[in-house]
Amino acid sequence: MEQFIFLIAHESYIVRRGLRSIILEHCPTSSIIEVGVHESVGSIIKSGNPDVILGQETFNVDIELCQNKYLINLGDKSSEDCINVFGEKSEILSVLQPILKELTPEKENSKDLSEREKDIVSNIALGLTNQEIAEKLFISSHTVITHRKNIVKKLGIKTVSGLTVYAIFNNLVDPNMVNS
Amino acid sequence: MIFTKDVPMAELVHHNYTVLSVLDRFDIKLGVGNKSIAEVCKEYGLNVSFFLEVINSFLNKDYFPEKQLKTFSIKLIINYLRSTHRLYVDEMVPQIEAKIKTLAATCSEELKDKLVLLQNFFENYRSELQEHISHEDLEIYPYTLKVEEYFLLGKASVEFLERIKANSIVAYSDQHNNLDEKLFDLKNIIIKYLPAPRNSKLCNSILHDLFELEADLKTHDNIENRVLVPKIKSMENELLNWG
Repeated sequence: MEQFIFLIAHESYIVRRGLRSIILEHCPTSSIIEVGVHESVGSIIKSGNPDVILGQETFNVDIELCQNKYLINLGDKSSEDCINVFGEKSEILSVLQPILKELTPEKENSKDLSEREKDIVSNIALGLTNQEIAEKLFISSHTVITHRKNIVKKLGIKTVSGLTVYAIFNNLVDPNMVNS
Repeated sequence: MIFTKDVPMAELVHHNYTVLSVLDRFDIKLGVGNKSIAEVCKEYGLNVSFFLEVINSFLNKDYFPEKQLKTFSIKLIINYLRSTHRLYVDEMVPQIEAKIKTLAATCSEELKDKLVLLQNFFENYRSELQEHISHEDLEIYPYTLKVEEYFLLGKASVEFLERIKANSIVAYSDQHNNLDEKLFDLKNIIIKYLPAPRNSKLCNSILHDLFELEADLKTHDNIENRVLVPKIKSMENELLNWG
């Protein structure tokens, strides 16, 4: 899991701690840098290289330093790039979450078929036996069977004809190549 | 709710209208007035206890009275199973087939190929089901009736004993068919992978029918596997012992 670095620049210890706890709840592996003193913020940004900066207005964070970083203001109103520090958790999250989502890369959706599994489905649709598929793809027939079990679990389709229909529906195989 | 013989038949239908298909199997016509289940059964010459066991199993998935069902004659059970077959072949399956045909006829151009594929899939299922049903109607059921006939007589002919040894009911019940898997797959494909057709109400109606067919087939299979087969098996053993 990716490690993101957050920098929280706010005069209030309570606000810094509160934001820290919310961020860790949603991104447990992130690092958090807290800054309470205005003077230090510039150098800390340079040395710490945070991905996200949450800064109170009075800190006057230099825009130049924020290239390729997310800059969120900490104030008393919510907006796309401003967190209301007096707001309830849900209000704070409504600003934070879209950004957290953008940071985290798309995890491989384990509900969809992998490329290998798609290969197997298209070969089943073509009428090949497990042994034939194994030889064609240079894997063991035991591996083919394991793949088939996973495919059944993911799709919920058990029969060869059912898998054939699925394969044609999803353009995994040329309908003309399929018998009957 | 478990139904008993003195409950009015009308109440049964009000409770769950889906029993109408079961009443149909027993040839019971509507306009039942205030008659109790017992009275209606008497009017139609039906075994009340058998009727109640079938109804209650149909309505409650957890209720399957193997013991009681085993007390009924093979003839009674086979009659019921046969009329269920007729229901599948003459009504339920053609109805689904017609609906899929309409869906394919009224869909958008992009979906046409996919729906034709679905039609073929169902046609394939239909013919396999038909084959299975014919085999039961023409081979298995007559055999079971003969077994009971000889059992009641107290002994069987030598040829028949040979037949039992060569082809007992257990051999038949061991045959695996993947009819139920095909039906399940069809449902799943429609629910998960069919791009939304224009006529979604019709699509839902097809799914509804598929779910009903599946549930009915399950009860039917239960009666065959958990009641008919064990009964016949024990009769076969007795006949072989006496032989």
